[in-house]
Amino acid sequence: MKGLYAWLLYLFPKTYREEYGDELQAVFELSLEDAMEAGGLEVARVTLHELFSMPKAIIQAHLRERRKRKMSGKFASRFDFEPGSRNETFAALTPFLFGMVMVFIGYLGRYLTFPLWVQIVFVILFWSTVLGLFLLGSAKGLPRCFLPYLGVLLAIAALLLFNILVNFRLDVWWHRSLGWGNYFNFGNFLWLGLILLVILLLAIAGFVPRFRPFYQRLRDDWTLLSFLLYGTVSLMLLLIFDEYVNAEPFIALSLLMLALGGWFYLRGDAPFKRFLSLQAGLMLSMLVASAGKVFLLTVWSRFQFLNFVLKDELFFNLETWLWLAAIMSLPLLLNLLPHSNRAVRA
Amino acid sequence: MTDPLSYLPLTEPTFYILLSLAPGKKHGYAILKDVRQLSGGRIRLSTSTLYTAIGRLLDQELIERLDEEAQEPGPGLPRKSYALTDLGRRVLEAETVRLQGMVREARLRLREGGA
Repeated sequence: MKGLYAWLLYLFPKTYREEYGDELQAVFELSLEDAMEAGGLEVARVTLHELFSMPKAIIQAHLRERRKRKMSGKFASRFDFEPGSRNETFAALTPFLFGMVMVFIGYLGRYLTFPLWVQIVFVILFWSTVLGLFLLGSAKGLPRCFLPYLGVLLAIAALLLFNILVNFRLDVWWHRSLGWGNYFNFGNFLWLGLILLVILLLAIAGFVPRFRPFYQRLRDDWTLLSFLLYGTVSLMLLLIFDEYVNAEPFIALSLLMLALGGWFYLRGDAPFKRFLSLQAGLMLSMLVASAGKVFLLTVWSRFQFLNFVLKDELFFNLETWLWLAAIMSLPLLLNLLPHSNRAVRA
Repeated sequence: MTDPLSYLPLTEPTFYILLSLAPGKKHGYAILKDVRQLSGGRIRLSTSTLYTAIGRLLDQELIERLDEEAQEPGPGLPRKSYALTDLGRRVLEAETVRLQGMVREARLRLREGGA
């Protein structure tokens, strides 16, 4: 019975067990010894009483621990990662690595016929993780490992903005009324929207006092903004492979390239070296995406005008790459702005 | 300073646990036995219920945990003992006054009804 009780104590939270485990066991043993003197019936009564009251006590202990963690901010402090640590790297690369896993699950789901609800659960899990970690990162003042999450959300905002323009038929107006379609494709408004959002983000960070420390950090290390924008690439990859069938392995491989670039960024010392790591990650990912398109179009598709379609698709990849590379280089301009705050502090 | 009235009313087990510690510090098993005795055998706390209450009272700073060894010798005795804090004593006193008031009113009304 004493052994069973000791085993049941493992159902209590670890910290609670460390605090009261020995006492609980000792008091139970004393109660049992007293009951033994009174006879078998008393032993059974004490044992049953202990066993029946335990579930409630276990639940209360867990709730108490949770409350304590909330109050002391212990949960949040678990996410205080040392720069360059394994945990920081893992947190920063989660949008790419987790995205990779999700893409593979989607791919397998198609062939292994996963029920729809399993896929829905995974999608919800992915987005709630991204959103949850972003909110957590925001609460902690957005340390660099949470910046790619903001990038993912920025890309979603840019896509929404672009969709609004399309819904208002502005693309039709652009091509027909002005006749500039030949010189500037309406699709490029997606990138202009992204640039606009970056400027808006910088303006908010610079002018709203609450976000000033974040702005100051971006000014002190301009590559942070590049890293934030690096997060947008993961979503843009899905755009590149829009309407493609069996593209998942290539998307996953492209995401792996991005994760690799991110890894080198987090390990790098010199700002320019870190910036180049991101650009290399972007380039590799786009190369893989292009190779994927060539493979998918030549092996799987039955296009009559294959060369034309391939050329068009590869041009779209090139265009996407150049835009993303240019947008990720924007923070270089930020570095050129005068560091007024620093001068004041000095 | 924390208002003792904000802790009232106390549950019966909590009241008896605090009452058990009123004369001085006790270890867990002594509290368990004392509560049973004080309540005339009505309240029989299980070990886990007792320590849930102790944990809560520690959080509320109504009792404190003493790191010294328990006074009574014997094998398997818990090493920690517990004592009332100043706040705990004031809360216990406030609860006693509240209960006294309730009993006084109840007696008065019952006497009026009986007359």
